[in-house]
Amino acid sequence: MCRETQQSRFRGYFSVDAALALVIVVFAYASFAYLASHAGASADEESRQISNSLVSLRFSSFLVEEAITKGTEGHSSVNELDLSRLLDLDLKGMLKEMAKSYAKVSVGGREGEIFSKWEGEAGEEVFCSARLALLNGEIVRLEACLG
Amino acid sequence: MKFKSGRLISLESLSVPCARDAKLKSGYLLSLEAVTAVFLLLIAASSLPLFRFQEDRPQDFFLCSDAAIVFSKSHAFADGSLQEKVQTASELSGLCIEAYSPLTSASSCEGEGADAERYAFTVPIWQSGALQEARVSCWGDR
Repeated sequence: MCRETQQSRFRGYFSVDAALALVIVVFAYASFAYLASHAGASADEESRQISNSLVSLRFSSFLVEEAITKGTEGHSSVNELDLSRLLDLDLKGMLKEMAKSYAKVSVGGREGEIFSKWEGEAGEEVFCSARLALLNGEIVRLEACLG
Repeated sequence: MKFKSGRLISLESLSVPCARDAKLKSGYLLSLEAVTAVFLLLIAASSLPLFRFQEDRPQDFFLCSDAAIVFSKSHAFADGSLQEKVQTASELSGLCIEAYSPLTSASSCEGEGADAERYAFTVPIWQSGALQEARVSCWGDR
């Protein structure tokens, strides 16, 4: 008597355990699969963002270098912008060199925008980098964008 | 204990899993699962910081070095316009900026950023007829 009733209860407990174990295994597998794919996607997105930010930063350095005041004896003045050189920037040629579709350079001070120039069509994503420089003795913000 | 055919036998010798035994075994298994689950949860929780998105702003480094160059080149340390220029550079860059030399100092975020991670640059300046060192440091968003 005891054997029959207790054995069935015993088996019942074990099947609950087995079911729980199965649920845990399925849940753990799904969780790890989700975590792995999410981590991979997140790393991809992050590296793409960093890479594009660095490209725009390099572009800003290039623009600052291109637009600085040149002395009569070939000396250049670091971080001192020359507005006429900014106006002469060949953004179209730069876009061709960089294989990008959009480039913009703007200069602004406390009172607002002083200069702005762009070439191409801005796509879904545009990465911008800001720099500080001097223009006619005043501190200005130069922003270089690439898309 | 139970008598069968006049002999004394025990339940254990019949290998009958009684309710009490079964309950004990299943209870043990469940607690083992609970311990394993807690252990796995702890491992998962400890690994979460690895997946946290860390925002690095490499342009802050360039903005701070630009600010140091700009202050040095505009003679801000010598002509008394340091506070105004630090304020302007801070507004344009979105960073908190602090600049000081042996004779003067200025800050755009007074009393803030004691524990903040900073970028700092030392630049040469001409002050009171002598070459001095000035230090410009920047941190965080305004």
